Formats: sequence, structure tokens, C-alpha cells
Amino acid sequence: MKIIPDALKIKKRKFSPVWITPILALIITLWIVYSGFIDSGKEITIQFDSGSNIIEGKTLLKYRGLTIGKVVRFDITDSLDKIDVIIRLKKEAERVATEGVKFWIVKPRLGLNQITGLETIISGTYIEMRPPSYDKKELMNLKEQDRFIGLSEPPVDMFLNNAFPVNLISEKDPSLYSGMRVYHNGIDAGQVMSVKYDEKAKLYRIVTGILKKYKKHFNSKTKFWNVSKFDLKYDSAGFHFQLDSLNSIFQGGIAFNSSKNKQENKVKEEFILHANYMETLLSPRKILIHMPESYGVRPSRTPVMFKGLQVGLVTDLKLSTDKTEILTTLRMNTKYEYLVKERSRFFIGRPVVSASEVKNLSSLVTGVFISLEAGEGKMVSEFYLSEDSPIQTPKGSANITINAKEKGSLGRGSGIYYKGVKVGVIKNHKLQGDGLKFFAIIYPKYRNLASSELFLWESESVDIKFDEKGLNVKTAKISSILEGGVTAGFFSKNKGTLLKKNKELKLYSNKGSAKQAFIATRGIKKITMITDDASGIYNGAPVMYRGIKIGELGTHSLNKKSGIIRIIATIEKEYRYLIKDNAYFWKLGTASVNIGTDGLSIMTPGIKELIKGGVAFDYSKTNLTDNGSYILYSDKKSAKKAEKIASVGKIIKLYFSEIKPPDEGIPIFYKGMRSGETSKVGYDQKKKMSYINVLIDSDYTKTITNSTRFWMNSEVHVQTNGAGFSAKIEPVINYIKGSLNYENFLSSKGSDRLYKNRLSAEKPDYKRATVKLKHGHSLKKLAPVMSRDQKIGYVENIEYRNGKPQANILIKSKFSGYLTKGAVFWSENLIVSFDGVKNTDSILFGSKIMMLPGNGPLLTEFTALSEPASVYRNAPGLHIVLTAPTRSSLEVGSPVYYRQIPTGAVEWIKLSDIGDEVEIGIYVQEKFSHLVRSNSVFVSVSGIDASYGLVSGFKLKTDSLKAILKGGISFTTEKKNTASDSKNGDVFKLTGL
Amino acid sequence: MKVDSSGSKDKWVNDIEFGGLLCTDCKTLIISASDEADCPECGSHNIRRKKNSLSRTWALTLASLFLYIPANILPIMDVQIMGQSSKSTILGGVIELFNYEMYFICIVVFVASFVVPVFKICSLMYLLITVNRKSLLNNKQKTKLFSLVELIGKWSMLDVYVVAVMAGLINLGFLLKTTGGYGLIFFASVVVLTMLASHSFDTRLIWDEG
Repeated sequence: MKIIPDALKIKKRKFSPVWITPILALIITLWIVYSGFIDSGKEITIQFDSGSNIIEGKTLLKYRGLTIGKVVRFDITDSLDKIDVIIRLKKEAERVATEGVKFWIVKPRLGLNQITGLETIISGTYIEMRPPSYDKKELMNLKEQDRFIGLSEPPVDMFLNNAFPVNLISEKDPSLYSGMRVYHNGIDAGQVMSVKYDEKAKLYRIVTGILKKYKKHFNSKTKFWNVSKFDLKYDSAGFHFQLDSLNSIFQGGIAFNSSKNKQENKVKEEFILHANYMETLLSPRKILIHMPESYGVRPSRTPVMFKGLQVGLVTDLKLSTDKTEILTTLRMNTKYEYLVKERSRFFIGRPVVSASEVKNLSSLVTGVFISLEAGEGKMVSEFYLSEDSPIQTPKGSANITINAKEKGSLGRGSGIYYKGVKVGVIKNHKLQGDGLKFFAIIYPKYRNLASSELFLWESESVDIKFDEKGLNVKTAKISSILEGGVTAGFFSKNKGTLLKKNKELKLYSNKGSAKQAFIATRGIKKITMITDDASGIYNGAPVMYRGIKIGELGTHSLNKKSGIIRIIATIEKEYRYLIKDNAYFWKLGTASVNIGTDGLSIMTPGIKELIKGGVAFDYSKTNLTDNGSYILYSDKKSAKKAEKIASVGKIIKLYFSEIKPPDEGIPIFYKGMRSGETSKVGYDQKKKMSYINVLIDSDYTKTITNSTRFWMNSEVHVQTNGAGFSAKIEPVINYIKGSLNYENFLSSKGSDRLYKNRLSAEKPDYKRATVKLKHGHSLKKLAPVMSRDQKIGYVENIEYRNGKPQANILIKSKFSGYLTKGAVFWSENLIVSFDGVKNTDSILFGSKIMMLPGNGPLLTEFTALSEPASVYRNAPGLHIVLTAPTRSSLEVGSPVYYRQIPTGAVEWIKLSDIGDEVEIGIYVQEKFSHLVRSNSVFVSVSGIDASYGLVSGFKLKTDSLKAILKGGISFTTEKKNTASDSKNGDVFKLTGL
Repeated sequence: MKVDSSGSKDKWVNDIEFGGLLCTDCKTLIISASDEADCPECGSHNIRRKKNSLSRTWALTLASLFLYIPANILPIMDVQIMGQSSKSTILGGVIELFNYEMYFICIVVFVASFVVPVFKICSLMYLLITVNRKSLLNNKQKTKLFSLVELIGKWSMLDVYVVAVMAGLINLGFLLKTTGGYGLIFFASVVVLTMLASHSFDTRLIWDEG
């Protein structure tokens, strides 16, 4: 299979049209390569200081916006301080590479009339060029060059064909560079050609090129100023631009104005370049101000203000040669120059955040300014900065002169306040003699205040007032605390006459002294008080009468010798009648606890007096003045005490022992009426007893007799009597401090004592007796001694003598006649009988002693009976004895009837001595005793008497119900005249029925 | 894949020796005595050997080789930001990507735009030179090489597509604009020409002896 004829045929080589393709491709490629080589022009080298943002192969060389070359590479020069940028020019642009061509790197430049290089922000910088001339002939003559020095800044337009040069000078760096525009009324009128510093003259010389058509605007008054600064102002009024042409904000430049003066039309050799427009308005006259420091004043920035109007500008600021002050040079606006005269003042306007006001706050934003206060006088150009702020003097203000001892906190600017309103201000002060004179003005609105009756005093910073509304701490305006101030006020009702011109007012140190001065001129009552302690007393403290302020305390002085303080008080005219000789004063501000019959009262003088102090007064019955001076007591209590002492009718000294001494000042009652109080408590060495003085009011002197006895009244009295018992409780107040009572007793004995209680007070009037007891009888101390249901005394104590109890009893003196021979005593306990329950009180208080008076001579010693004595024991009448076999139902006290009329009672019942019968003692009243005869028959009628008789039949005979229950004795006497009278002690037989 | 007719591993026979012709599309061996035959499998018309295959391939390969020069010299893409154009060539773009440390994209672009066309041109030229000659690679390897060239041929258009898409998408007028550069036309031409060249190459020639 080797021979394949067809296949061989195909393999035959022929020229194929496909070979056109590579030939074509080759041609295209070759052409491209060739054209690329041909197109690239020659390389030039430009030397730059900095190659910032130049990118190899990217950065272009442009001319009028067209790319004419590209940076191929760059080198660093051998000296390493510059770079060489190698640029390949385009073929058609090769001819630009001639001598004099300027190259510079274009960076973004912002200006209003031209924004250049903005594209470089994104695309990066490029290199721009400018030929030396646009003149074809000139350009033809230039030699070719391939090495250039690049500029660091764009070149200045130097085509002055239609411009003329104007020279400007500036002392300060004008911040200009060539190429900046010159404006006239906001229109581009030229440009800055060059800025140079003249070392010799120490000036900046600026050459500008101004278009020729503006030449006619020039004359000697043409002013140039710099608008190159971004002059945006912000002050309290808001933002505003200070510029002539809007594009100058960004671009800066110079502006000039044309003067109205058209006759003189020439260009001066040199114009001064002013720093800003403001400066062009300034007069050339320089005013020098000495300032202690710069206060942030800045040259050509800080304005001079007059009533809010800018009238000048600070042009220079420097340190004085002796380094003690800052010398500020300022220049006034030409038209306001006249404001600066000899008496003008310059102030610094700084933000003042003082208590009185927030001032010049705008200067926080705008910076400080210099404030001018216009004045009169000669033209002067050297001033010292005034310390204080300027004071406006409104037209029509009243000038007043104030005499003062010292300056104090007052000074220029201190306000004069009338009722808190600033009515004037102190402008000035000067020393005169040993005093000081303030010159002040009263504003025109208030000039009527400047009257002869006006008083002035230094403002008090804090005024603490108490009134019915409560605590009122009134501080003066904080400003016047800090700055000091003068308070003006009137004390009199009429405002007086307008102040005469040469009349001077006096400045008082405080309101008090001003008032005193006023008082000195008025008929106000002045009184003197004396005290030994002036604490709480101050000038101006009120004098109160029943809560009403009627005057004031004035000054006080200490007498060195006596130590007595004298206080002058002034009493207002309308109240002067209140001050009488018997007035006495006390200091307010102390609280006192007072205990009176009405209970406890805490006397506080009201919170305002408590804090404010002051004095109050009342009248005593007697004159309390001391040589015409009133005595000032430390508090109301002591005042009252003193008053009391003065009004006391009687002083009694009471001795006491073994009792708790009563307090001083406790009340004394007489029959429930307060009649005095206790005073001093002391100890009598001689008597070895304590004593207390009691003061009895004069109204009650007559209640005191020589038998008056006092007792303490501080305990609960439990009294028992027939009505039961009663606890007598004194008013509560008496328990806290106790009280004293007194009463007049019978004898004068022991009237110089103070007794523990009423009982012991009564003691001296009681008669003593001793009762010998069989046994204790459960008697207690204070057990009553009764006689016929009447309390006649009590048991003082029970004592044992020879092992036998003995009661010492005290019998009221009026019953002392009972203590006679024949008197009997016995003790009695609770008795329960048909008659009722007797002596219930003895459950509580134990037994009591019963007695029956005797009728013999007086005795003091008795022996008690073992059983109760008959009530009728010593009664007049008939006492007889009945004998009976049984007691029956008879009891002591069982009645004795005669014809059913009670005539007596069973006196006692006892067993006979031998015990064979019962002896019953009966008592028959005297008026019935004649009925008892020797033949009388006694019958017991106890119980129900039911009898049954043959003759009488059944007979139920009852006596009285009492007799039925209690039993009784009935007697009959037949034939009265036949039998003799029976005598005491006669014995009869008692027969049953 | 050729059929080993004799059973020996070292002995390869071509289609002509086998007495047929190989379908160029589906590689089916068509047993036919004539020079032209339709493939019974895929229906494509086959000629025993392509006419002037080597000559045509040579011409197209050379043409692509020539055009590859301007394709790399001239910028393929022009990005204009604010009217300021920034042109970049293929390799310039690769270097730029490398400088931006975008290594993956850098490699992709480098392979697709530079390595692949160069590889294709070189491979084709190698095959053309060594056809019917003894060479480093045996016939089987050469056939595989050719398959590779055909396979990757179309991927070289990646660059072209990228630029085309960018030119369509990134167009904000004056602010930002992307356009294709002249280099792109040449590059596209290179790719097309290499594809045509590989197409005109008859692999069966590799196996034809002397």
C-alpha cells in the first residue's frame, strides 16, 4: 500500500492564496512598529525640584490642553537634590523644545475665575509648558534645546503690552505672589508681577501690572489693600465676608479704589499696600495706648469700637522697651478721629461674665476689641488703657457727689440701687483730705431721687429677714456683692427737695448707721437700756411690743468700769407713748418653758424673733428703771421674775427637811387660786435646815396670817370619809414641778415650816393622845379615829411599848374636849349585821378607832376596850341591867320599847360573872327614864310573838318589823306613882313572853 | 486512536495503510477505497487528506505570529477617567495586576492572554516542522499535543471578551469610560488565525510516513 497516486497529487505544492494572510500581517506589524518609532519625537530632559506625583509612562506633557509628550522615565541628579524627568515629545511637537520654554508641574489650583488642574486630582499631575513668546518670528530665532530647568510655580503672565506698572510697598508680609490678581471694584484689573523684600528699607516691594484703561482712576488718594487673605468674619451678628470681590476669597489679590478727585490724575511712585480695606479708611495719625498686657489684641484685626460702631483699628502691638507694658498703636477712622481727645478713655472689650451681666459675649467670637469712650480736650495721641468698662452717661443724668470714709468695694461702675433698681452709677472717685469723694450719676429717669432726704449706704450683701411669710434671705444682687454697690433709700415719707448742686451726700457704712443719722435729725424717741450680756443684740434688731415692731436697737457700748452694756434703742414716733417708766425689757430669741396654772406653755417668741433676736417689753406694776435706763433682761422669764419681785407683797421663808425640796418658781395656791410662787431655795446653816422663799403676790398678802401653813401639793390624796373614798388629784402640772398650797389653821404653831402634805400641815393643830391596845386590831397608820360617826382624828402611828401595842392618835383640836376621863376607845372592824354592813372602808384601810368622849378632866392616855363600847355609854339617861336566862335574839342596839315606842336600846350583852344568866345592859333615854320604876316589867319581844290564850284566843302580836327580825325588849310600868324611880345600875329581870 | 492491525504494540498503521480514511470529526475509520467518503457514523464529508494542509497552516501560523507583535505592543484597553485615558497593554495589565497583588487574576490573565497564544503558535510550528520527521515526541504524543492546541484555542478569547464586556458595562461618559484598544483587534486576530491554522492542520499527516 505504498503507492497512492491521488494522495501524491494532493501533496503537490502550489502557491496558495492563504499566504496573503501572513504577508499582510507582516506588513501591518512592520508598519505599526515603524510608525510608532517614527511618531515618537525626541526626548527632552527637564529638571525639577520635586517629582511628586510624576509617574513614569503616565505623566503627560501638555500644552494648552493637548498632550504633546509623555514622561518616559526619570533620574535623580548626581547631586541628589533634583530630579531629571525625561519626556518623549510627540513628533509634531518637537519644535517646542526651544530655549526659553518654561515647564512646570500642574497641581490643582482653585480660584473662582479659574479652576485649573482640577483634573489632576483624579488623573494625577501633568507637566505644562509655555513658550517664551507667541511671536512667530521670535520663535523662529530661538535655538533648540533638550535640557530645561522646570519651575516650581506656574510662571507669571508677563505680557505687559496693555498694562503699566504700579509699585506698592508694605511693611508686613503681604502674602502675595506673582500672578495674583489686582481688582478694581471687583473686576480684574491687573496682576501682581513680583514681590520682593527690600532688605535696606525693610519693606516689601510689590510690582503690579494694571491695565492701562484704569490709569485714569489713579491719583494720590488711591488706596491699595490686600484681599489676599481669606477674610471671613464671624461675630455675634453672624457671618459676613469682608471682601471686594468674591473670587478674591480663594485667589486673593490686591484691590484698589478710585478717588473722586479727578483733577489730579497721576500715578504715584509708590502706593502703600494696606493690610485690609479697613486700614485704608484709617487716619495716618497713630494713637499709642499703654496696656498692661495684650489681652489678645491683634494688629490689623482688633477694632476700636465706639457705641458698637467700628471707628478704628489696632495697627500694631509691641512690647515696651522696659518690658512692663504693651504698646498698642491704633489708628482711627478718618471721619471719627475727632472722638479721641484728651479725656477720652480706652477700654478693653473682653467677654465679661460677671454677676451683673454677661457683657461683650460677642467678643468671644469676634475676639477682643478696644472700646472708646469719647471725651473732650486737646488732641492727644497717647493714652493709658482704663481698667474698667466704659460707663454710659445718658443725657440729663444728675451728678451727685458722695462723701465716704473709705473706698471699700466701691469703685467705678458700682451701681446705686434704689429699691433694687439701679438708678445710678459711680463714675469716679478721688481722695480728698482724709476722706474720699465719689462722683456718681443718677440716671435721668430717676433724677428726682437726688434729693436732700436721700440717704446712701453701702449695700449689704445679705439681708436675712424674718417676717410673717417666713424666712427671707435676701441677698443683694450678686453683682453688687462682688462689685459693691450703694443703696439709696428714704427714711422719711417726704422725699425732700431736689439736691442742690454743691450739696454732697454722705455714704454710710450700713443701713443702720444711715438710719441713725436720719433719726438724729428727727424727733424719734431714744431710750437707753442696760444689760450685762449683749449677746444676740445687734444694731437694727427690732424692739417688739406684743408682736409689733415699734423700734430698733441702735449701737451699744460697754462701760469698762462697770461692765454694763448700754444699748441705745430708737422708738418710732407713733409708738413713743408706749415707753413708760414701768416698762421692762427682755431679749427675744430665747425660748422659755413656762408652767402656769393653765398648764405647760412653751413660750417661744416666734421663729423670727428666735433667730432675729430683738427685745420685747411689758409693764410691771412698779418702776423698774435704773437711773432712767431700762433694764434689759436676758429672757422673758427672768424679766417676769424681776417684775414679780418688784410686785411681791410678801416674802415668807419656809424651812423644811426630810422632803424633796420644791423647785424654784413653782406656783403657790390659796384655795385653788394662784397667789404666788416659790423663789430661792437655800440652806440655813444655823438652823441646819433647808429653806425656800415663797413670794406671795401683793393681792394675796392678806391671806397670810401667823397661822398660815404651807404644804407641798405633789401627791395624790386619797381621802376616806363616810361617802367612800375620793382620790384628789391636783392639776397635771403640779406633778411635774409640784405646787405649794397654804391655808390658815388654828394655831400659829409651826407656820414657818413647809409641810409634806396637808395632813402634816394640820398636825400642829392636833391633840395627841395614846391609846393602849389589847392587840394590834389590824390598825394602820392614818386609821381614822371616829366618834359618833365623825372623824375627829387619826392614828399617827402604832408603836409597841413594853410589848404592848399603843396607838398614838391625833385628835383635831376642836375635839380635844373628848379626851377626858371616862372616854373610851375601841377598835372596830367590818361588821355585818341585820342593820347593814358597817365599816366597809375598813376593808381597804383596816380597822379604825372608835371612841366615846368622857366627861371628866382631860387625859392623854387611855386604854382601849376589848369590845365596842355602847353608843350610849356616857349618854344621859337610865342605864340599867336586865338578867335573862338566854340571850334570845337580842343584839347590841336592839330597841327597847315602851308601848311600842322606842325609848332606848340594848347597850351591851354579856354573860354574868358566874355564868348562870345573861346580863343585858339597856339604855333608856333621859326623857323616858322616869318610866322605869322599880316595878317595871321587861319582856323580850324578839321574834314573832304568836300567843294563844284561853280568854283572848289566838293572838298574833307582832311588833315592828325590825323587832320581829332583830328582836327587842318591851317594858311596862304599872301604877307609876306607886313605885320609886329606878337608878342607874338597877337590875331587873327580863322575862320571856 | 489507531488500530493496531498486526497485534504488535510497536507497529502503528495509518488509515490509508488500513485501507480506509478516518473521519476527522468522530474519528471513525471509514473503510473506503475512494478519496472522498461520507462518514457512516456522523455523516460528515471527509476527504482522504486536506488539500494544502501544511501550506495553509504555515501561512496562518506565521500571520498570527506577526500579528502577535502589535497585539502586545499596542494597548488592548483604554480606561478614561475624567477624559484622562489610561491605556494598558496585555503584559502591562498583567504586571499591573501583579503589582496590585491580585495574583490569581494575574495568573489567569497571563495564562489566557499570553501563555496560551504563545503555546499555540509554538505548538503549531513544532507540529508543522516535525511532520513526517523524527522528533522528540512520537506520533501519538504529537496527536495529543494537537488535541490540546485545539482544546485551549478558544480560551484565548477570554481577554477579548473581558474587554468587550467592560467596554459595554463601564461607560459613564466623561467620568469613566472603557474602550478597547487597537491591540485588542490584533489580539483577537491572533486568536482567530491560530484557530484557523489549527483547523487547517490535518492530524492524519502526522501518521503519514515520509
